[in-house]
Order: sequence, then structure tokens, then C-alpha cells
Amino acid sequence: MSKLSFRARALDASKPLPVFRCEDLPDLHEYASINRAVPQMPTGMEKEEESEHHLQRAISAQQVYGEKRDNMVIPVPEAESNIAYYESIYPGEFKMPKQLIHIQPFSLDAEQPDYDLDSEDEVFVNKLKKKMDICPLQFEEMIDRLEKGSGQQPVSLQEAKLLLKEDDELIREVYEYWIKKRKNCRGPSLIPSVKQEKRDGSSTNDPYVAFRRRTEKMQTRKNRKNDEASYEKMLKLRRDLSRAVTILEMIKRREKSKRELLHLTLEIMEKRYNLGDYNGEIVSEVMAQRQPVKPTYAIPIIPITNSNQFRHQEALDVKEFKVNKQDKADLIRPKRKYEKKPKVLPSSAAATPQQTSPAALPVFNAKDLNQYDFPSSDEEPLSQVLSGSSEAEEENDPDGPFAFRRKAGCQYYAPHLDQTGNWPWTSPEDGGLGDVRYRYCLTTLTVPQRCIGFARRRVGRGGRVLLDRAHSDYDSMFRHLDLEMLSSPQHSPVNQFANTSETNTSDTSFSKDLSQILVNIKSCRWRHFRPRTPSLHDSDSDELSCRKLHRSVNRTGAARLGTQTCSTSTQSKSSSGSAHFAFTAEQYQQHQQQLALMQKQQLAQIHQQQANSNSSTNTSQNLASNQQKSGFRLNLHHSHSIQGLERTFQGFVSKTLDSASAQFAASALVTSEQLMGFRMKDDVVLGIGVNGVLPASGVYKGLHLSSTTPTALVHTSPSTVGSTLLQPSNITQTSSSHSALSHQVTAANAATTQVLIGNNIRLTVPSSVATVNSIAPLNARHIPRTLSAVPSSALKLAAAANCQVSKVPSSSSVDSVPRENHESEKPALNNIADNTVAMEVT
Amino acid sequence: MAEVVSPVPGGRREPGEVGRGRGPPVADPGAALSPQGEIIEGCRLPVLRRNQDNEDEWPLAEILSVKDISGRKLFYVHYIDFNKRLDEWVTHERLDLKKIQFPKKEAKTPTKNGLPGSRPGSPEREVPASAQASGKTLPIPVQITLRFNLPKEREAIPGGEPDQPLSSSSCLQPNHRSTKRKVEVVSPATPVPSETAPASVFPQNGSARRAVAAQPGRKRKSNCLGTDEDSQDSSDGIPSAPRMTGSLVSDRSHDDIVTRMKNIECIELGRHRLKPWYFSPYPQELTTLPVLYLCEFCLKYGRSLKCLQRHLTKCDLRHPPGNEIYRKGTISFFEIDGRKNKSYSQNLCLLAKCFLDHKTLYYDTDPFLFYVMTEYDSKGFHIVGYFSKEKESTEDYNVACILTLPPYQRRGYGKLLIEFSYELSKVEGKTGTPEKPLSDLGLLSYRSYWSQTILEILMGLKSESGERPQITINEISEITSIKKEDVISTLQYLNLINYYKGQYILTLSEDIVDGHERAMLKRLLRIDSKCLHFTPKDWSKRGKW
Repeated sequence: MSKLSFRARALDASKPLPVFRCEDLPDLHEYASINRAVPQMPTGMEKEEESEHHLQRAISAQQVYGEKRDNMVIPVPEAESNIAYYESIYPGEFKMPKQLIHIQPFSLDAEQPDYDLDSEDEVFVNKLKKKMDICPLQFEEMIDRLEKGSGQQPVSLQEAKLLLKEDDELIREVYEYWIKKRKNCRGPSLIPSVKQEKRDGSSTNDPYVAFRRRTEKMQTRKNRKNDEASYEKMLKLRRDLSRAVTILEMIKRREKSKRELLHLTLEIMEKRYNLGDYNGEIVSEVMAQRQPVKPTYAIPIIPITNSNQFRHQEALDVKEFKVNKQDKADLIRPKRKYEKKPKVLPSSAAATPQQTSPAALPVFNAKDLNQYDFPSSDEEPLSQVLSGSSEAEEENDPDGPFAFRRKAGCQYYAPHLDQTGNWPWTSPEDGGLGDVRYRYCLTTLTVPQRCIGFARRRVGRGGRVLLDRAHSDYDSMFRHLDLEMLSSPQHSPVNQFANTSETNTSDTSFSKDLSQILVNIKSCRWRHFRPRTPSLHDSDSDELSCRKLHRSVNRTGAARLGTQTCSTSTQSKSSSGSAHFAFTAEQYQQHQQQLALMQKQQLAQIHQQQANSNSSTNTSQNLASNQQKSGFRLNLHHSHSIQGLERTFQGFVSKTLDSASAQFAASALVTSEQLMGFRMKDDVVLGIGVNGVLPASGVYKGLHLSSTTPTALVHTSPSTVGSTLLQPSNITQTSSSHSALSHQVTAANAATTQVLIGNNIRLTVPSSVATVNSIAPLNARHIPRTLSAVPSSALKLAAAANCQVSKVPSSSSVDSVPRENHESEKPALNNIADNTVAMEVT
Repeated sequence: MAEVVSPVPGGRREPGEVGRGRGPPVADPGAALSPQGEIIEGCRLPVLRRNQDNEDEWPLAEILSVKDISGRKLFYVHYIDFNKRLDEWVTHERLDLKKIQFPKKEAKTPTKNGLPGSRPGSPEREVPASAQASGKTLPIPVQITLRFNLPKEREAIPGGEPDQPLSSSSCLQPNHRSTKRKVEVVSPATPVPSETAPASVFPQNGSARRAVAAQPGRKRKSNCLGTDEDSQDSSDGIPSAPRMTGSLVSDRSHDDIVTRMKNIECIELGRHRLKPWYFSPYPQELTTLPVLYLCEFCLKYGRSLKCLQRHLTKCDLRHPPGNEIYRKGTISFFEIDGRKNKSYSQNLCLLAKCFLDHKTLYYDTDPFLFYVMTEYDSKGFHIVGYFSKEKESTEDYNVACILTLPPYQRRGYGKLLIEFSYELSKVEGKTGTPEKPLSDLGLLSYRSYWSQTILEILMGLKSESGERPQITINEISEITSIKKEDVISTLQYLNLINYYKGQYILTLSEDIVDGHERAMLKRLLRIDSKCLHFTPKDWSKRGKW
């Protein structure tokens, strides 16, 4: 039947249930089978007890008979009633009061002894009664007191005498009886009492211990494990909220003060306007007068509670700037005046002078508001809102006589919040430039002339140069460095590029002896700094006026590297400029390393090839010139947008020792670098700039794609720089460099560092005869390093960039040699970054 | 002393023949080869018992303890599948030694018909299998440990060798029985904590050897209510301290052999002598007394009649020390605050514990109110029964413990107490339910009350405008203050709910109606809500009770 298979819905407690008599529903039994849907409720009994014989019998009896039958009840142990002596021991009648019984609190605490005399005691008391005066109640009281005076150990007789106020005789009698009885007593006390819980928790499972104290725990609701934690959270929340309230109150106070300041400024403006002080003469005069009078910029200690006083003091300070010379005596009056002011001033009058004044009164421009030194919301991030005490402490002239005092008439710029720490010597992590020239390097003082070991320069306040010294293990050695040797002119060609080879300082495996260090220094593998002596090369005096940070840095850099060649100085300059375009220090550094490397390499090649008089190939020359051209064009297109570059370019020309084409190439490199740094969204603009030169755009795009990955630099720089340096010697350096490049990559894994260092040293020493064979591994040293430094994704990009670089020569219809070189690089790259998945090589 | 166990081996009996025999007892101890010597804790055998119809029967029982009083051995027996309240001390004449069944290693509790029987409480069953698992080292008497091996040895060596007494040092060694048996006791819902705790050795008391055993599982009311139990005491490292709310324990964590056995022989209270049903933690030195004398009004316990007499000269109470909140005729209710009147509350609890198996006296009485029902006569207001109630219940309990003292049982007072508790809930405007677990008598009483109350409503329903009278379960709950679940369970128990033609209906059979009408005729004692003078207090605003 379908209705039997029908599944009943759940019972709904809120649904009305019609009540039927069974006789009204003759067909009810047909539905019985689906009644199982009715939920089975637990009985609420212990499972094992539920099945007990008598209960089951009683339940079934109840169900059968409707009501319990007498013999089906659950049997219980019998109770006996009608104790015969009941009437005798419960004496008297108790009349039921008419009203409901209401007991008074503490009315129960009748001072009755808890101890109840027993028959044994009665005998003793009766016996004792013959000798002395004692009644049962008195005896009970005595025992009660003795019992309650005792702990584990019964009290002594002496103590008992103190406890009891009866005769000594009686006390002794009772005491002795008590002691004897207590000894025979099984329990701990003659007054039986429920066992108490022990402090040590040993009584946890003692079944005779009852009524334990509920532990002093926060009463939390059941099943809420986290209640305690949330309670603590609420406490914390409350604390935080109250702190927020305090902060808000302080902000309110501050904003009020600012409003007052505004009104005061307005007032001053108005006064000056009325006086006709358009040039600010009167004001400056007043200021000058005020100067000695004015307390050294000490905002009075502000009591937190009294904001009125604060306002008053502020008003006082501001009033001092007023043209009307107020005497200190009538300080109160201006305040009152001030308070009226906002009402007196019409709003239109308040608005207009505010806007016109900066133009009319140049001295009092908007910046001058800072003069008043009220804490403003702008300065908020720097100056924490502090609690009253610390604030007061801060106001308490922490710098003493060295406290900064503002000079009247001076303009002070608000600090650039986003550029804090943006110094060339701070590391990029701290927001600085991490300029190489400000790294720790060997430093020699001019007076007294000695080497102080590793130091770092910083530009301090007022342009002072500060030296931060760093400890190293060779400090003692440095002291003995032969300064003459260092100061001897170094005309070796290597030295020209030496300033960029400072990467070697990081090598850990340099030799320890002094001469080695000297060699290192000389070969400029170790940077060495000496305070500037007037340099011949320091021609760009106009730079002195330049305030921009990187300019000044640049200047010192130029000054320092007295012997440096222009090409490198340009590099450094432009790179310092390019640092503005969010270049990281690493990128820059790597790039420089690359450059230096290439320079060295090519220099060596020049030497070698001059010596060997190797034949040259046209293709390489073509390539070089081509690249140079493209670089030049790039430069032309982009230098206009980069001021710094232009400058370097100019300086470049004036100082050039190399051929102009090399310069162009170098600058082109710089430009591309900067473009990379740019990575601006306005591709269109740049694209237009590049438009005319197809190969250049290829370069640019490749660089752009590579998105400032250092590896991109690795691949671009060899070509350009290579051409740069090749130019004077006009032989086949490019190709060789390229081959070296390809070589280096393939040989990367085989080369060990130690060998490389050896090569390096040999190379850099002017007298050393470098061979082509030795160059290749040298290069190989750098490339894998840089490659390994970047993540695989970057490598991938670099590979893409690499390909596009290769477009440059191809599109300008040059020989296929470099292309081959590049292609030969690809498997090499593959080898190096074998974790790179699916290299996108087009 | 019981410790001295006769090494005389007894005749081996077939375990299979043990049942609830009705055969004659073996009266001759000689035939059993000094049988009491080998009757040890854990043995099962038929024991003579006189039922309420004054007939002798031989239900299977388990020996829980043996004591020796002046050369006569007494055996504390628990009748399997009978409530613990019927446990008693018997002489060996009442034991059917022919059918003795020795405790076996790994013996599963034999349950009748596959149903879980009442749990035997012998030490070897109570003892957790391994001390590590339970967290408590169990001072199991040597003999017991030894005896476990007995049947096996006998099997191996028929005729039996004298048992080798173990050295006393082995006393303290943990028992290395498997944990299997534990699992059947502990409800699967509650995991067995395996915390380890220092051994706690209980003093062995007097003549009866009391091996203290504790259960590892903290089986709580979760069986009944399905609620996750308190997090409070599980976190505080104290092993197996019961939860702090409520007044009943459903777990057996403290159900060791000590609390398994009645410790008070007799209590004299007013004109009545009561035979306690269960253990109660009266001072231990009083447990040896043949009679414990209680003051009828303040419930203070005394050593002797003389003490009681002395006490009565000092005690002027003639009613429970609380406010009378109800009076009709001779029936009065007094409300006692467990915090303000500690000594009375504690004395009441001690007395009540004698008759309430699952009551716990572990914690103080502070969070409870006690409603004591009295009957007045010229001597004063005599306690009839009481119920306790949590000042604040997190689980809608309106009763914690409820008890009619045995002399007043089966006279309608229990229902009166229950009715009163629901009257209080009505005043509070809440529904309530008794704290679980219910005892057998509690279940019967409550079911009876619920049935009568609900039937009263259903039969009183008038049909409106010719339609069928109808009512929702929620309405019944609101009218009666009986919690919804209890209403449903009662309707279901009475078989009133039927699914008929796509909807639930309530059907009243003729049997039900007749039975109810007869029962109501007998139910003369009723609570008159007009006589109740009660204003509920909001205890949550009072801080700590």
C-alpha cells in the first residue's frame, strides 16, 4: 500500500495536533506502521539501570494495567516507623504559627556547643559533679572548645587553660578525660564532622570527603571553552577603546588649537594689512625684537587635564608675533581679546586675507605656519601622540643647549616623509640608494695622514662629511699601509677602469698579507678613499650649486676618482641619476660589474691583440658601429627626457678621452638602462621617441620586456660596451667578446672560482699578459653568477630579452656572426637554468 | 580478617550451570570444603532472597565484599539486574555454593538476553585494567589479583594446589589486565582519557576490604543529553573531579567499591528508622554504628540516643530553617538557601544521599536552593521529602535532586513534590525538566506525573465550533511548564501520537481515559497555586549565588 510506504514528516512542536478518541477512528490501525517516525525520546535514565528487573516489571505492569499494581512496585528496603520513645525525646508541643514561617538571618546561630554529651560523658560528669561544680552543658562547652582549638594534634594543657575559663582543677580533670577519650576515638575529632577537602588535592577521590569548595574559577557557561579567553579579550578591548577615547580627546584638543592658530594668523594678517606692512618689515622688526625675548621655543608643559591653560599659552606665544607690542604684563587681555576674535571677525574678511596674503606678503607664506610649531596633523606620523607624562618629558627641553631653535625669517621645509632615510649611503632596504661609492671602503685621512681602515662617508648636516668606521680584522694592518705607495701616481691603463672593480672586496678568499692588500688597493679591487685634494678633473663647478642629492654625491664621486676616465665617470654619474628611476642597488651594481668586466676583458684583448696583431673581421666592426649608432639614436631620443643624462652627456663630451662614438654608445646604454628603470605606462610616448629607429626599438622593447632584470643588462651591456671600447682599437673585439660570452656561458659550470681569482689578479696587474684563453673563463665567472642570482622566471624573461637584442644587428642587416653567438647562448642558458620551464625563445 | 584467605582449594564447579537457580541452597558448608574460604569478591552465585510477596527466590548475585564479624563471615551481595538499593550483607547460609561462578580473567559481564544488566560492582570489574590507562594506581588486595588466576590454575591442575600467597610487595604493583573491559562500561561517546596521575591509595577500612577502584572514563550525562560535558574540570588537571554544575553524577568515576556499598546500617529520624539504600559520606567513624541518630528538625547526626537527647535540649528548631513559601493544610514547603544555611543543607544532602544513587556531594551546596516539604503535627514540621534546584541552571533543570523519604513513599508525596517544582517553574515563567539521570523510581514518578498532567489537559480540551479540539506540543509545554522534550516523550510513551492521513494526531484510547480517571481519583494531594508565596530571584544578578 502506498500510504504505508509514505514517510511521515518530523513532528512539529508548533503545529496543532487534533485530539481524537480512538473510537472515532476505526481505521487508525492501518496507519500504525508509519508511526515509527515519531521520535524516540530517551528515558533519561542510566542505560544499565534502565533494564533492571523491577523497573521493567513495573513499566510493563503499568502499560498492561494502566496503573501500577501493588505487587509490581519497585521494592525498596523497609523503613520502620513508630519509634516508641519518640514522644519522650522530642518534648513539648509546637503550635503552628498563623503566618508563614519566616526566619531571620543569623537567628539560627545560637551559641550552643556542637558537642553532644554521650553516656560515657554523663558518667564522668556525674562523678565529677560530686567534687566540683559542673553541669552537662558546661562540660559540652569545654569539650567543644578543646576540640575546636585542636587541629590534628590535641591542644596541650597549657593551651587548654588559655582556652577555657573554668578553674584550673576542673580544666585539668576535663582535659585529662578529653585526652584519654580522644585517643580512643576513631575519628579525628570527638565532634563528628564530614571530612574536609585537603589542600594538596590528595582527597580528590576520597569518597568520604564531601562539600568541597568550588574552585575559585570564573563561572563560565557550559560548553564554552573559550569563555575565559574571550573574557580576557573583552578586557583588552576595553583597554584599547579607552585608549582610543583618550587619543580622540587629544586630537580634539589639537584641532582646537589649530583652529585658534588659524584665527591668530588671520588676526596678524589683518593687523598687518591695517598697518600697511606689505613688505613684512614691521613683522620682521617685531620678530627681531622678539628674538631675545622669546623663550627658546619651549612650548610650555601641557597638563593633560587642563586644556584651557594650553590654549592660553599658545595664544601667548602667538601674540608675541603680533605687530602691536604687547607687554608681558597684560597677557590676560590678549587672550580675552583672542577669544572674542572669531565672533568679531566676519567670515568673509577671514577668508579673503588668507588667500591674498601669501602673494602680498612673501615673508609670511603658507610655510610660515610651521614657524609656530604647533603640532599639526601633517606631522602626526612622526610625532606620536603620547600620554601626558612622556609628552611633558619631551617638552622638557631634551636637547638642552643643543636644542634646535628656529631662526626668525628663515624658511623651513617640512621633512619629506616619503624620503626619510633616502640617503645614498643607506641600503635600499631602508629606502636609500645604496650607492657604491658610499659603501665601506678603505679610507685614508689627509691630516694626519693615515689609513683608518674601512669607513663609510656620509653627508651630515651642513654638508659636513662624516666617516662611519667599521671594524675589520685587518685594521692593524691598514694602519701600516704605505701611504706613499698608495698616493703614487697610477698611470696604468687598468687603473682607468679600476674604480668599478670594487666587487672584489667582497671576495672572501683574498690573501692576508699586507702587500696583497696593497696590490688590491692599487689595482682598485679594494676601494680606497682619500679626502679630496683639488682635482684637475673637477671642472664642473656649476655642480656645486646644485642642491639635488645625487648631484652632490656625484660631485664627491668625481672628486674622489681623480684618475678615472670620463667614460666611467659618466657611467657613475648617469647611473646615480638613473637611480632616481627606482633602480635597485643590486641591479646597478651588477651592471657596473658587468661593465668593468667587459672593459677589463677588452682592454686585455686590446693588449693582447696589439701584441699578437691579430686579424680583424669586418662583421664585428660593423656590428659595433651599428650598435653604437643605435645607441646613439636612443640617446638622442631619450636624453631630452632625462635631465641628468643630458648633463652627463655634456660633461662627458668635455672630458672625453675616448672617441665620441664610444661615448654615445655608453650613453645609449645608460639610456636604455634608464628606460628600463622607467617602465612607465606611457609606452606610447617612448615608442614615438624610438619610432624612427627600428633596431633601437628592438633593443628598447627587449629591455622593457625584461623588466629591469639584471640578466637583461648582462646581455645588452656586452654588446654596447664592447663596441665602446673597441672603437679606438678598431679590431674584432666585439666578435671575440661575443664568442667569449658564448664561451663563458658554456664553460660556466666547469670554471672554479679559485682559478678565476687567480686569473683576475693576473689580469688586473698591468704587467700581466692576458691571453684569450684566460679571458673566457673570467667572463664566465660573472655571467653564471648573475644568472644564478635571479629567479628562473627572470631568466626566462632574460632569454626573451636576449633574443630581441639579437634582433638589433639582424634588423640592421649585419653579419650573422653575432646571431650565431646568441643562438649558441641559448642552449647554454638552458644548461644553467635547467629549472626554467619552457623557455620562451622566439 | 578477610585478608587471610584459606588456601584450601574448593571443588571446581562448572561455570555453565550457574544461572538464576531456584534450587535449594547448599546448607552444609562441609560439603563445599569450607566454602567461605574461597568465596571472594567477584564470585557470582545464587543467593536466597525474600521478595515483596514473601516468597523465597534465588537470584544470581555477585559478592562485592566479605567481612568477618566475630568469626562469622558476612558477604555483601549485589543481585544482578536488581537495583543496588537491594544489596545486602548475607551469611553464607544464603549462598548457593553449588552454582558459584568464579571471576574470570577477561570475564565479560554476563548480561541477560544480551541486554546490559545492572553493572556488577566487584573490584575486579571496577578496577581499571591498567593503572596507566586509568591514571590511578589501584591498591588491589593481593588476594584479588591472585584469585584472578585461580580458575585457570584449577583448570590446569584439577584438584587444585594451595595458592601461593604473593608477597606483600606485589600489592602496590599495578594490575596488568587489559583495558578491554573498560570499553564496554564507558559510553563510546566519551573518550577515555589516558591521563596519568599519582597513585592515590585509600585507607582500608575496618573489616571489609575496600579496594578502591576508579574508572578511567568520565562518563557523564552525555549519554542522556548528548551534550558535550563541561570543559571546566577537564582543563584543570585534577583527575576526574566532577563537573561543578548540577547535583547528580551519571558517571561512575567515583563509583568505587567504597561508594558501591551502603555504609550506614540504619538511620533514626524522628519516629522513623530508615534503612539507607546507598552510600553516604557521613563521618567515617559513624559508619560502624548500628544506628545513626539524626535530629528530626536540623538533621544533625549523633552517635547515640543520648547524644540526640542532649542535642534536642539545645536545638529549638521545629521546622526546617528556611522560609515557608507554601502551606496548605498540614503540607508546607520551606525554601533553604544552600549558601546561607550550609549546615542544614549539608545534613539534608547527607541524608538524601542515603537514598539517591547518583547524587554527588562532591561540591558544596552554595549554588542550590532546597525546597523541603513537611507535614505538620503537634511536634512540629516533619520532613517528608525535598527537592533541590540550581539557582541558575544552564540546562533548564528545575529539579536537581528529588526525594521522598522512604516512610512517606508511595503515598502521593513524590508527585506532590514534582507538582510543586513545576509550580515554581510556572511562576518563573520557564519550562523545566529534572536533572538527569533519573532513577528508576524517579522515572516512574515523573512519567506518572507527566502523563496525568498532559492527559488532564487533553481531556479538558473543548471542541470549538464543532471542530476537533487541537493543541500544539508547545502549548502543552507552556501550560504545564513541562519541557517540550518531556511532553513528546510522554505522548509517545502513552502512545498518543499517531500519524493519520498525512498529519500527526493525538488519539485517546478508552484504556487511557479510564486509567487516567481512576488515577486521578486516587490523587488527592494536589498543590494549590494560591497557597504559594514565592517570588523568584534573579540569581544571575547576585554575583555568586
